[in-house]
Amino acid sequence: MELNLHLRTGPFHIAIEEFETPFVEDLQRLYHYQIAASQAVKNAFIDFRISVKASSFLRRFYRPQVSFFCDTYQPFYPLPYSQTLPMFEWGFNWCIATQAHQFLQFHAAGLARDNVMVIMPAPPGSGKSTLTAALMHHGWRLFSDEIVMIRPTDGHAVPLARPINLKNDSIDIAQNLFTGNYFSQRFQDTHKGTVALMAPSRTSVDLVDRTQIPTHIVFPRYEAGARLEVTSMPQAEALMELVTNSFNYHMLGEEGVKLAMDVVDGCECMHLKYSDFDDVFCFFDSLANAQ
Amino acid sequence: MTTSMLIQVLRQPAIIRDFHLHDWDLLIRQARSSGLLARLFHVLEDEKLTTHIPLPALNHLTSACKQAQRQHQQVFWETYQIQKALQGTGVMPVLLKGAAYIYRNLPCAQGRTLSDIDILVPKSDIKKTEMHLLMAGWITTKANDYDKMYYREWTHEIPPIQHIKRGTVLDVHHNLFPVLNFCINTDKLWRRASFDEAGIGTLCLEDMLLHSATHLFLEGDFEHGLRDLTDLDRLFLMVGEQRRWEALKIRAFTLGLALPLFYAARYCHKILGTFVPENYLDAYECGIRATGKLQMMDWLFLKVLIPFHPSATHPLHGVAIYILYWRGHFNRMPLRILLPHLAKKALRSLFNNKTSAQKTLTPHA
Amino acid sequence: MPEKNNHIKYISPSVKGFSVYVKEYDTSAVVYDGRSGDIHRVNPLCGLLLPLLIDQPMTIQDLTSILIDQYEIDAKPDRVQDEVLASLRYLQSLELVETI
Repeated sequence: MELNLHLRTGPFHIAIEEFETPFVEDLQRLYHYQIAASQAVKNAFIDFRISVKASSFLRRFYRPQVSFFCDTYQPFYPLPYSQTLPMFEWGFNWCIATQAHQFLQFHAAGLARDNVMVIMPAPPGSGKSTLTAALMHHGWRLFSDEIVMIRPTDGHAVPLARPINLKNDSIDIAQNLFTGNYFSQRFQDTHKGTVALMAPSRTSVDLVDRTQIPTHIVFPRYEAGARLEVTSMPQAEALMELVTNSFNYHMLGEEGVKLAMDVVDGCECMHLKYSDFDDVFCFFDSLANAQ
Repeated sequence: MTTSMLIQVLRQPAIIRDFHLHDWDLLIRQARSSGLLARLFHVLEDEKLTTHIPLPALNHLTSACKQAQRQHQQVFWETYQIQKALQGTGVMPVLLKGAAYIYRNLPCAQGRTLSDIDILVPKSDIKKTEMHLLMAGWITTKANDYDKMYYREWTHEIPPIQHIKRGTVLDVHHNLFPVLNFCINTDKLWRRASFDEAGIGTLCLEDMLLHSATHLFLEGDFEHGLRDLTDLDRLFLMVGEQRRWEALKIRAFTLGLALPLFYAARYCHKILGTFVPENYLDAYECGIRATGKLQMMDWLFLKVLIPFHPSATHPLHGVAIYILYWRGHFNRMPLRILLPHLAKKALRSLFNNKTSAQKTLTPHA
Repeated sequence: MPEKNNHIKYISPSVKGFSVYVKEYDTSAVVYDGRSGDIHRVNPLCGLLLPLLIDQPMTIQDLTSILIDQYEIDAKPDRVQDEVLASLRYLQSLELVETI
């Protein structure tokens, strides 16, 4: 159905022109503090016009599907109707990854407290999203759980404060531990398994315009029963990990690589092995207090 | 018919001084769907208007410029790889279209984007070329045998090849145009092509322009029509600067391509306001005797040489596209071959409803 | 394949103005290949050799003597040369260096 809902997340103004009704409420609650007032969007510049809508009238009755559109372009095959909301999130990521090369983008989570800003690149299954959710619940400011954007002009990380994408077992963990946060319904059988989204904290949204210089690059790894262990990491290794996990360093060429080198030069780089959130909180808070 | 905002800006860039944010919003969308975002930035830069671009629009323009720059880097690297692959074979490839503009750093390289690299080699060298490119990692992407056969028999190129590691797509041609209806003698092209010390060639300015014009006006693919028209606009500008109007005209008649040159001149002039000499706009001279035909062509081309965006398309846009698609096919092949070909294509599309433009959903790219 | 041949020269050619950029770290170097747009992590010796070869062909002997002179390496030239050869092979596999 036609929706015309405007969101402002960090530097991006997006208009959701069409969306499937059963998922609108979830969408509105996940982006509750980012919905732009109608007078503010009149005659505005819109970065991405997004529609997620049922593929065809007939398809509504037989294995219904939804398609993602960015303005007129349809980058993906349709997905099952039930995955409307995850498709919106993935599609939004796609818009940023393919059209926002004014930033250098890393596939990583980003969090900040006071003057400390941590970039956490990590492969799927490392528990990155759960850890991000935990730290946000603990009072850290969420930049993003998937895309850390660096502004070339000053090397600052630019927050997005978008919902955290939780997968499979981590959904239960998060819902049990982080009460008081808003969670979307669960979406089964996506290509990532079961997915649920967790809204960004109010502080993260309120301070979304506050950009920060990255100070730490932490590669987390969850290991059941392990004691917290921090080992420092050679900068060259961190740089390679960061760049090979970049969505767009190829687009930025030498400028992008030098920017990534500057980011790493300004950061302490480390591996973090953990199993217990309280230990992690202590460790992260100690980073913040040390500055 | 109202002129789209993008075309207005291409004709008269200075009008952006009075733009509001919502005008920019529309301009950026039209430019994106035309593949002209990066080109637009360069147009504004040439006119020293970049300080008038508001930041939200500037972000999209600079982002597109970075993408274009990356493609230019790829063109040089891929050309270097082609040169290495063909070293010692005696094959001297000629770059065509976008890759040629970029390689020679012509005015139409600015902000030019491309989806593949086109090269031309003599027909007698095509097997050798294909084999050496294969050894260097370029493999055939067209899966089915009918497609392969179609390419080899009836077109002017081998099926597109893609590099196994880098993913870049290469189109190897042995003629500029499909073999049947308006095939030209490539010896004539070779004689006037210029090669650099690396053995990489480009066509002379006249042939480059005629190739672009013929491709756009006789072949029926208009998705990048407006972009190609802006290429022609810049090539005409070069012809003017180098005072080669007479040479271009003579060349067009020699190669039998006076008609596409006329169309290029007419629609560049009509749509983009390109300067061309008076005698370039004479339809009679290039064989259009009936005014009705010209009216028909105006009706068609003015509907498709626009941004492919809902804010710019005419209600009959689809009809014009359809007619021109068929016309392109007729131009390429005689009917006895065309009809079975289209029938086979239609049959197969019934069983395979995935379009190549779509990709499977990957989580973040 | 590189050989210990006195006549073979190695070079890292720039391609239409795009060339390689090396940044040295404590225990390795990171190379940005501005021609292909790729990034590589290499050993420190590769990091030293590569800048010497940008647009300027050299033989293994040239490279070995430069290393021994500039870095006051106290090892037998033969051993240094073996190391240089191994590094050149690696740089060749990354298409950062080629023979002419």
